[in-house]
Amino acid sequence: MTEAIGLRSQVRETFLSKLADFMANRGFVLVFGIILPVAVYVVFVGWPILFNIYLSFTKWNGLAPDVVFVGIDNYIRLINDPGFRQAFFNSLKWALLALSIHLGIGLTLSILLHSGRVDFPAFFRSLIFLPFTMSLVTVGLMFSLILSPGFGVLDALLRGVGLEGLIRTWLGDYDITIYVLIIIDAWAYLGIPLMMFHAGLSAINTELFDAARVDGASEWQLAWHVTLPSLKPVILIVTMLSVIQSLKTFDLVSVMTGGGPAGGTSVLGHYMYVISFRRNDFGYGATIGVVMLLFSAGFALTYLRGVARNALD
Amino acid sequence: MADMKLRSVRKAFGSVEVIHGLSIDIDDGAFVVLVGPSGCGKSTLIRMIAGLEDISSGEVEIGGSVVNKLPPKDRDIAMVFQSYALYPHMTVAENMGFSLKLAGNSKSTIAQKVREAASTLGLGDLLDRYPRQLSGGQRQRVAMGRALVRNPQVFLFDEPLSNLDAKLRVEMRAEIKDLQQRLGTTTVYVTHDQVEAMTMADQIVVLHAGRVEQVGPPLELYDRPVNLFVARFIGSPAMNILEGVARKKDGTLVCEIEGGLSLPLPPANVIEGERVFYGIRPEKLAIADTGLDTEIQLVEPTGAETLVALRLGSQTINALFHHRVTGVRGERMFLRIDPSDVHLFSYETERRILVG
Repeated sequence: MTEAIGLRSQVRETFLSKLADFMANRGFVLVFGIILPVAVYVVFVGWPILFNIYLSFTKWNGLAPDVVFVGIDNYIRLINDPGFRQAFFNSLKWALLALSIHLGIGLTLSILLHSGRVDFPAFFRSLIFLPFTMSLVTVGLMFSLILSPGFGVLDALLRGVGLEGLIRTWLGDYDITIYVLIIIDAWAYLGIPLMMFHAGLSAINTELFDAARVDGASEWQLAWHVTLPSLKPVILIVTMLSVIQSLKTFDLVSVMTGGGPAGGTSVLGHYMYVISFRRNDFGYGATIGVVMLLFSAGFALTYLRGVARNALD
Repeated sequence: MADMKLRSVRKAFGSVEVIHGLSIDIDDGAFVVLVGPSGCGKSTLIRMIAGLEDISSGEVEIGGSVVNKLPPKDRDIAMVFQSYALYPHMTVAENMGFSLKLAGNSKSTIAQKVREAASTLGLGDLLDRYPRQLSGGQRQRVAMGRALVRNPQVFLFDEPLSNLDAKLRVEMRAEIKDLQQRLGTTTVYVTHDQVEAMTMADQIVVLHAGRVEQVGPPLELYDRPVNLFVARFIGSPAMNILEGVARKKDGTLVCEIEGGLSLPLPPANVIEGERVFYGIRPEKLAIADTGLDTEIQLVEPTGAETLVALRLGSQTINALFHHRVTGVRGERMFLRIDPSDVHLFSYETERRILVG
């Protein structure tokens, strides 16, 4: 019995000393610092991307064992698909409008909250950041209730202040629903550009403003000649993140409108989901996914290489 | 060019007063250095002159006009900042011409004035470069060029050499002084480095805790500091200050310090038994065969001079010699003090006691 305990303790000590040796040498860094992260990346990112590209050349319903190779048929179908065209242009509209809100309102609010003219700026920054911590599904459900035609708070509010003329079917009007969704999406994401601009503004050397004041700059000229040029790298990063975020849009559309009315809020992410999981056309869905990937990666690469390179230098 | 007057200038941040009613007269064309330790209010004061800080009370007058209410651009001043504050997205030429552009000057006028200033400062080849492509010294010169191009009545410098290495600092301080003498523009220069103050100024204003301790030419401050603070602050290495009591010994008044050691006193307004601060500059101590008995603690040769830390009773004093000293730690060294080199300060008021 005693011998067994002694042997166990000896084994334990040998194991611990070998573990300590392993952690002390480069093997530890190699395994946990390089091999494992790369393996996780390959399994959860690399492989799905490659499998998706493979699927885009096939016809498959997602269940049947037969995966039929169809060459570039799915890509030809894409060009002639009005549903894809609509989703593509809606995504583009979404990206541009959301970007305008992130840059315009995000930057204006950041400058205002950084100027010292607003009390409790940290509180307001936290308040604006708060929606970002919520899931977009929650945001979507919340706004579905707020904008509900029968008992929604917004309509009640408009009626209360005598503006019933402005009441619309917020989530059922082909002309405006996409804009409503874009505004909600931009609201939910606004905290990120706000915080990034805040960090950018805090990093500007305050003596630059003093120098510009001595040079004769007005408040507007300070913003134009000092603040904006100093924030150029942040503006470029915000632009890239905002556009990629918009191109990925899915949750809000899925929860609030399901792409309707009449495809008015159909965007690439949601259209891909509908094709793949509702119509069980995984091959064609994967093709849309490939196009989204190319579009996002193409944008990011061109942008970083061209426009942003000088500014980030 | 213009003279400048500060009259009872005060600055308070909320209930905390940081500048306590300063009054300084600066002559037309003078190079005045505001010097003092960190937190003494010198940067706040220069920012008040520039119009970058409000003046709580009192008046700032430039060229005969009170400028308290004028924005910085209307005070006809130019300022060089510690970080140079060059606009990173503008070229050297654009940086230098920015104030002229804001003032609505034509492109040709701006180009001409920038060229003139650039040639004065030797920046002609750098006009198309961006600040990030310049060395520290070149950036400093561009910052001066930006000030120069406006041809202001007053130059303000806020610790402009702090970010440079020691060698470049010495070069730039000579350049600034030379430029100021050539242009003859009234200059207010802020620094915490008393060597910079001594070498550059026509007049030094020593500030401490928001108050003026002494105003005067550099050597007057060095030779006749009005109080203990100025005595300790001006001069490098700093003056040795020892606490002592005036005692009669063999019919002569001497200063007795801790351990019963006697130091020679000059003829001064002190009475027997009076407590004093006894000051002697390190460079005024001389090695002798007999005299003040000290023990070597540390020898720091710099080539041209040797700084020696010495144990005197339980205190440490410094001595600076313009020759080589070969002593080692623990060795005895006798020092001679010429009574005429001694500075005496009242123990109670810390003010200078009249000598002679």
